[in-house]
Amino acid sequence: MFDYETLRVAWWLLLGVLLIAFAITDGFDLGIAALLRILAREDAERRALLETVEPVWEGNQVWLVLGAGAIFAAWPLLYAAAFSGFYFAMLLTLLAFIVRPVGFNFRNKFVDPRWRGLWDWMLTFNGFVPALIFGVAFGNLFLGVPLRFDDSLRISYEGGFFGLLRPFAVLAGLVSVALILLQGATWAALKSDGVILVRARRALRVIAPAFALLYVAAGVWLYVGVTGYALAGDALTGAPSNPLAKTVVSGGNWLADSPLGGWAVLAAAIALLAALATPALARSRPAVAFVASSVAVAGTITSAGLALFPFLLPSNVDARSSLTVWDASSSRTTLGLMLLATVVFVPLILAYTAWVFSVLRGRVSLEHVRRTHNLY
Amino acid sequence: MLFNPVAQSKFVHTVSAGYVVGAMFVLSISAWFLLRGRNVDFAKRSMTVAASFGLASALSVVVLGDESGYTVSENQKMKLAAIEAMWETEPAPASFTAFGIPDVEARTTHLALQIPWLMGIIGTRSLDGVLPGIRELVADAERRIASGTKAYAAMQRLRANRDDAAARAEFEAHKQDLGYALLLLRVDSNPTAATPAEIGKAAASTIPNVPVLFWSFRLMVACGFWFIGLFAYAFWRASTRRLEGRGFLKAALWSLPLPWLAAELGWVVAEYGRQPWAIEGVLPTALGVSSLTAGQVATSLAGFVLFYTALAIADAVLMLKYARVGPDGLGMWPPVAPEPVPDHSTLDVQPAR
Repeated sequence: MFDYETLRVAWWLLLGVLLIAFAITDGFDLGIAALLRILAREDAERRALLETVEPVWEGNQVWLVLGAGAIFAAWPLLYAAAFSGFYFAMLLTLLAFIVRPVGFNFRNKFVDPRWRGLWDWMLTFNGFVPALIFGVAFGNLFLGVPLRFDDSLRISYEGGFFGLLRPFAVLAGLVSVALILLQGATWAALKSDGVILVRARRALRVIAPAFALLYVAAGVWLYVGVTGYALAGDALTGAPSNPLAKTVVSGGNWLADSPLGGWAVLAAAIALLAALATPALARSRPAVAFVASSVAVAGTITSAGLALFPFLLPSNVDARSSLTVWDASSSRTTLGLMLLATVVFVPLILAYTAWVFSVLRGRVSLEHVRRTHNLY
Repeated sequence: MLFNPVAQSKFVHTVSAGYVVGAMFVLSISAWFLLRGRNVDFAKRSMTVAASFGLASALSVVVLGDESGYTVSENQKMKLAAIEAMWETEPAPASFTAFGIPDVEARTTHLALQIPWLMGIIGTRSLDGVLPGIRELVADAERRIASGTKAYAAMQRLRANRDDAAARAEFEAHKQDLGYALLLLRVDSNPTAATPAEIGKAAASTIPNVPVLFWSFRLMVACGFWFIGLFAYAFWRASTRRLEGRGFLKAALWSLPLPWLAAELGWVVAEYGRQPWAIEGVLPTALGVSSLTAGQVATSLAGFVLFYTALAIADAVLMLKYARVGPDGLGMWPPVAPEPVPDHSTLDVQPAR
């Protein structure tokens, strides 16, 4: 079958595809949760806005499960280092994702406004926090994390939760939040009517430029203020995974010196143009606006992945312990078998997801929600 | 993972246990309505469904539990010996200890009430299969630890020099016991220079907590047979249309928490019972953990406990509320004049223009 190097590149691409699919699909429903209190003021409006995502959010989360599963099975060293290194960040994300089904399911069980208000806040928390943390995590990938392998390849992580909150990483977190707000607002412009639609269009006129500003600022900062990493010598692209078998130098630039840095800038430019086009498109062609917003999401993640290549998780305390595409994967047999399974199952998932979305096409009528039951 | 010898029966055993939880919930709430004379027709229908589904699920749980026990006897002999408090190897077929007080210090079981032959038949499905007792298994572990230290030492030599052919041959000869040598690290001993006393200590550490397993297993099994009995009786009463009867209804109501209890006990038997191994014979749990500190893990555990407790309270409040409101309170029962079936294609979503 394929050689080890090809399989590693394939799984690096698939990791990107899964992250992008997660950010596009779960991104819009997280965005709706984050914008819940802004786009919808009274109870019927909130129920109408939540109904635009209620049938699909669980399906969207499949991509998160697949993405984490791909890291676990295809990049076990990355999984071990990131999930125990970013322990409290992961815990916070998990709590945010746990309140989500509870929020959707419990919210409408009592009419008491305090009860509903509580769960609306929980959903807002759920909307903002994972996006912020994922963005901060991406920022830390560029900065490097305090990660070290000992002689028997046991991993230790010499930092805590607050060590993650370095200024550049926080800026990356804000870029990520702006992205899901963009997704949420274009989704609301596509799926809502009445006053919610008006507010969604208005919100886009703020969110799109804000995203562009933050994203450009992060790009400039990355270019002038962040030290890059590079592999020294020829990489052992087909050898068994052993991070300690390579030499890494730090001191370059992620955009100028990275092997795929030029492509990263191109992806970033596409993301920027697509995001800036959304406010106008939302008025005339809401479906195209949502596609443009999704392109912005895909372009942003792609630009980060390309700039980092071949690094997955650089170490800033022991450069040799950095994880790259060539030394953090599972065995060739595992990657091959999983690729086979992916080729069969991902098209199936795409097919049924497409069918669900086509059945549910059209807008959720606020008037209809006002007239119907409010206990379910 | 899919073809792991214990995975399949354990998977279906666990899923069926979930079905029993659901069936018991419906049975108990229906019994509560019948005891109060509310929603009588509705509750009788629910109870009939719960009784038949519950009977099938409870039978499935017990049959698959037996299958799990059989696979355990092949793959996790120490777990089985601990569950049954079998200190010594008995001549086949071994007897089953229905009641007893396991004494860890003396390695014996006081006041044992034994049923001849039963254990040997369940565990080996034969009259001549021998089930090893704890003492024999510890001696076995001692032998394997001693063998494993040779693999461990050879591995160190191989790491210094990949081409050391003698070390490779030694490693190949003993590698199946390498996991046992790692047990020495758990008792703070160096596998390359372990004394016989340390090997004995490491071997003794392969015995799980016998009294906890002995009683968890017996309570779980008792629950399982109670479920079969209760659901079968409910099924018979439903078939003969005699679901009233306060004694029966009260038994059904008060059985509500038992499936949860049985599920937790089953978890204790399966997971606590396989300690000190994360992977039997290969990886001790103590070496399988990440480098997080105990404080970090304790903090996150406390967070989960608080968080899930809050959710459990909210959940209990909702379940109680909706059980009290009932189908009559929700306007779902009795069904009023025939209503047109709502057309969901146009109800919530208008077609795109």
